[in-house]
Amino acid sequence: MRTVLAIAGAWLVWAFVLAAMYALHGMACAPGGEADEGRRITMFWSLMVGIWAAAVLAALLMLWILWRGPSQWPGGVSRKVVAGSWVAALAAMLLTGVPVLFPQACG
Amino acid sequence: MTEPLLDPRLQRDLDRIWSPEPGWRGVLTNVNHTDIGKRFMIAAVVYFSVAGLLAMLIRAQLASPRSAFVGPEIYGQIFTMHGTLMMFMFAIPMFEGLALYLLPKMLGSRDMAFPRIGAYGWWCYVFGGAMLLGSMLVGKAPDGGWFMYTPLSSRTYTPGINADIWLLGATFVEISAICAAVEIAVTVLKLRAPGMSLVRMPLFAWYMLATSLMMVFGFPPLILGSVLLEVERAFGWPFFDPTRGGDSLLWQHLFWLFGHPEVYIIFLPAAGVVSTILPVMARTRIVGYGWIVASIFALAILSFGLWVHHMFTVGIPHMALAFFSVASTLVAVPTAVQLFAWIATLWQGRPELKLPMLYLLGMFSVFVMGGLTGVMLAIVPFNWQAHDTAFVTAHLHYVLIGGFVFPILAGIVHWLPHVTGRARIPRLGEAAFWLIFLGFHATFLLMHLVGLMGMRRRIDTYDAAAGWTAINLLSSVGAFVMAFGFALFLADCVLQRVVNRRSGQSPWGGTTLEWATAVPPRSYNFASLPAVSSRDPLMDEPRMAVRLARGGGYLAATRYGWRETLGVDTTTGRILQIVVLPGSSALPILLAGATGSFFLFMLAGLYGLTPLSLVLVVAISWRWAWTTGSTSEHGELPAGLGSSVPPHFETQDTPGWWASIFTLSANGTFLASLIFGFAFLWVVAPGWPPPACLGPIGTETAIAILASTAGSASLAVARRMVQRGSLGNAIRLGAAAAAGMGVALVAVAAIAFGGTLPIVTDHAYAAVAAALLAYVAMHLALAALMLAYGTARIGTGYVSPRRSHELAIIGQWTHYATATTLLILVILFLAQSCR
Amino acid sequence: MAVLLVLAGCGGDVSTLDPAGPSATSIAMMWSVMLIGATFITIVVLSLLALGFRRSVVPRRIPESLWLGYGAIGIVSVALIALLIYGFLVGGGQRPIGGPATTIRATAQQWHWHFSYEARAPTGAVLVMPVGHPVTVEVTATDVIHGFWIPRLGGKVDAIPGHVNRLRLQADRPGRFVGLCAEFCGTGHRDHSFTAIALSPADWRAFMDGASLEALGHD
Repeated sequence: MRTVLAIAGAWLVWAFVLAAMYALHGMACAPGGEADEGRRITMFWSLMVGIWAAAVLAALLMLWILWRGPSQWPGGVSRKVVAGSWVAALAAMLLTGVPVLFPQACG
Repeated sequence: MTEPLLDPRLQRDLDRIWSPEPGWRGVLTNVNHTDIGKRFMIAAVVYFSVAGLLAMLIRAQLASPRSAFVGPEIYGQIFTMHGTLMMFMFAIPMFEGLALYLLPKMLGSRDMAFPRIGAYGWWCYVFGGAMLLGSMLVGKAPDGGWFMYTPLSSRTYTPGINADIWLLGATFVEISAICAAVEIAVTVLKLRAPGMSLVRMPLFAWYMLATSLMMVFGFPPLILGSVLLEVERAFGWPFFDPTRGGDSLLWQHLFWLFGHPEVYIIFLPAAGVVSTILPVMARTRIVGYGWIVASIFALAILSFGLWVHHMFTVGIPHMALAFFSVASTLVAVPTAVQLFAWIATLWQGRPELKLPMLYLLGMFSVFVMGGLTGVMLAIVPFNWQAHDTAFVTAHLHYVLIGGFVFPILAGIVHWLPHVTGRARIPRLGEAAFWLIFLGFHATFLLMHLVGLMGMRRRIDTYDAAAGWTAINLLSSVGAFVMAFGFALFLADCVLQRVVNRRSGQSPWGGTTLEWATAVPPRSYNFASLPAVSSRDPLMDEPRMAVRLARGGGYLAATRYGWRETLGVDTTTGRILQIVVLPGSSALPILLAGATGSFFLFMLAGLYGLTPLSLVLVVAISWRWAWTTGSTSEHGELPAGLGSSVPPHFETQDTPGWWASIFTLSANGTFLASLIFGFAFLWVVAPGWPPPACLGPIGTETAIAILASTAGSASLAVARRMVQRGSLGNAIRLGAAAAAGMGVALVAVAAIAFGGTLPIVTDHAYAAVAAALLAYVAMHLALAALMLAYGTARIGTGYVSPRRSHELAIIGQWTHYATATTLLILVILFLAQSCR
Repeated sequence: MAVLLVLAGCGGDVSTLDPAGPSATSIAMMWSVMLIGATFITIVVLSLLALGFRRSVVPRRIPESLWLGYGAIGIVSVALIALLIYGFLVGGGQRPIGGPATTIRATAQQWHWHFSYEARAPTGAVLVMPVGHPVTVEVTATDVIHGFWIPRLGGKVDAIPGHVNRLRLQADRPGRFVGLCAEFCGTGHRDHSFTAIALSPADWRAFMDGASLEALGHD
């Protein structure tokens, strides 16, 4: 089961980042507050970039831990699958987050 | 090859223990996974036929312009039921049935982990399906489209019971699906052959594990949505009504949070079938086992991040659409990994064009195109044009028929000799394949084009001037050709069962353990259980079936009339326990009947009678749980081949413990969806802030949190007392824990009924707050009941220092109730100032 | 060329493949590009599949990493990223923000459309817009969800009660275009349509000054 969690964990981090960025974006662009839209977007945008960066760092950290290879991690196929999943999820996180690099007004 | 020789005495004993009761009683009380699995598949085929006939009506109506065959009212019922039956009554039950039938055999077990839960799921499916079919017969079928968008499906715009039938019937069937999901996940994790570590599992088991975990997290949002919408329809609590602080977009989010994973929930088992059959057909091993496992989990979780691509036109800002556009295209990568692994397997092996292979090739040609149009739809601007047109209809049929129906047909052809023990009839199946394959492309290929030419989904007719006539006529002709193909396929299956000669032990040379059972299999699958040292056990030992039948494996003897199988460590496959499974029982059908009565009372508007159903459900569940376990100690029991392990109720890492974890995960997802709904409405819905807020709830909140925490703490101490053998103290502490939960329940009720809650029918704020309180109250009541049960079990001798696994499960639910009390009351406390 | 021939036969009042505005044109173009790409990929995949049955032709042992790493992940990712960038550029250009635009309000209900303007009396179920000038349609609904869609001009947006969604459209030539309700809205869904009329600049000015459609020769 720990192997399953370690594989799924990679993608759960990805899913968390996606959900968090969508939620923050939704709050930034919520209806009703057109007056201070600019400031609000900047604030939420900073948060989005922050979460994105934190998740990417978390994935890198996990990969580093796998690379160092403490003995309690399984070897063989399991290890390759776990590491591959984290590499793929890291790439997916990088790609999914790219739109935050192009901040724009709501619309 | 001949029928394997058996150890006759062992066979007689096993037959006596494992066979269902004879006659009608046996039909109602049977819990055997082989029979339940077959029932699921046969019923799914019946629903497929009904839904297919509805599709023929659709195509008959659209074959010519200005057709007067049916009007828009009937047409609405037809397309809604076609989609609903195909999705909920065919696709999911079909793979559930396949999994129930195959998994224990593939994993080297004698049954699923929870045979009675499997039977309960079956009866829920039967009763829920009967509601849907019955509504069609009386002309009151759901008619708002299979995704039931509000406000069209709200009481105002669908006043009849049509929508209630969808909401209640579908929820009933989803209960069945969650049961199956938990059962499948636990079976894959716990009931494997000794030595079958995770990485030696057949790929089908990996696919089913991922699928079942997806169902655990994917179905609760829809169940929540259905419950909320039904409560809105029945009692007027406004969750989705935009005039009272609700929002129709909340329904869309909840529906598609389920709806998109659903597509992969359907696809992954079928891909598992492909990954199992294709290497057999190519006479080689699968290429890229590890890559495939990684891509299964990538798909499983990525698919939860795509739901918004069904909502690209609801007015979401472009940056948010961009996130989901990226995510939606990303799923193509793990899908491509699997496709390429399959092609690579063909290159590596010596593929033969046998019938299952034909269906697999059909799968490739259809599914690749469906995947490509899926990528197109993930691109935002194109989606704006194609959304809600026949292009989407064509796309989803390419995906679902290519990604599910073709692989399942391959699977049926492949495993039918296993089910029936008979060889197939030459050439009939090939003819059926070509009719289905050519009919499919004729129906759906040009439908993409007619969609881009402006033909919308769900219109009941069109004008000749639109220029769609020729394509629609071709689609209709193709659809009827395809229907003939399916009819021929079915005839082939029936003929094979009825008239044809017996087949050999393994007609295709399969290498997984299901071909080590007798063919057709016996009720206990294996006379003795196999050990496994590679991914293709029958490649290592082709004559394994004979050895096992002669009693050369584990558990080659019976005792106490127990239905025994082995429980292993979830990762390594080391033997941990003998799992004692329940036998034939009337409890599943009774519990399903009690559950069904709740839905029927809701449907009939007899809301006052629903508490009766709940009492029945509780009473039967109590009885159900009571029949497990033992009042005496057994210690280490010989399991064969020199190993000795205790029965599962004297261990900790039990199937029940895992099942409880997964059920709580589904439950937590349900709660998370409700909290999401609260936040969503607060931020996005029109009509906020609400006219009235919660009154001061500080005192009640403090009491409830303290009382439930004290309850949890007493239970923790009670469990320590049990470990020390101090059972009297444990009983007193257990009763105290139940009382603590009771006090918390009273405090929560005081919030709900003490005048602090604004009128629930006025605004979504009060309605969601009330729903949250109801959730807490229900879980506190449940925890109190479970604690009472646990106390009674200690008092009657079912619990000892060794036999304490039940208390671990009760602990999970008690602590969960305490945690949700804390979480929800803090949320409501913070939400007091709502203006 | 073959693609263009096929597309030529796909006209009609509501065909997205016979565009009459910049949004619809760029999306129709996108469809052609994607259709060619998808056809190519389908042929490649099915050819690889067919080669699997010609064992004399293909090498039996190809490393997993070549098939799955470079093939499935590498090539597919590159193609997807290119397509995503294309999609963002086209989609970003159609956002209903910035620049001068005329605002028109569209309200849907079972089963009518109602159009109103900032500086003029409403026109009932006929949407009137200028040629060659962007229009922002503010779309909403009063009962159930509907969908606002003029296929020859551009994509659709849902009309959702309680929400106002914006859609940027432009007509490149004067004329009448069919508008449809795209989201299933009940038994009257099929005929829940409207007409959009694009007026030349002179006619548009007269229209905004209060001239009726009849007076301008559109009835």
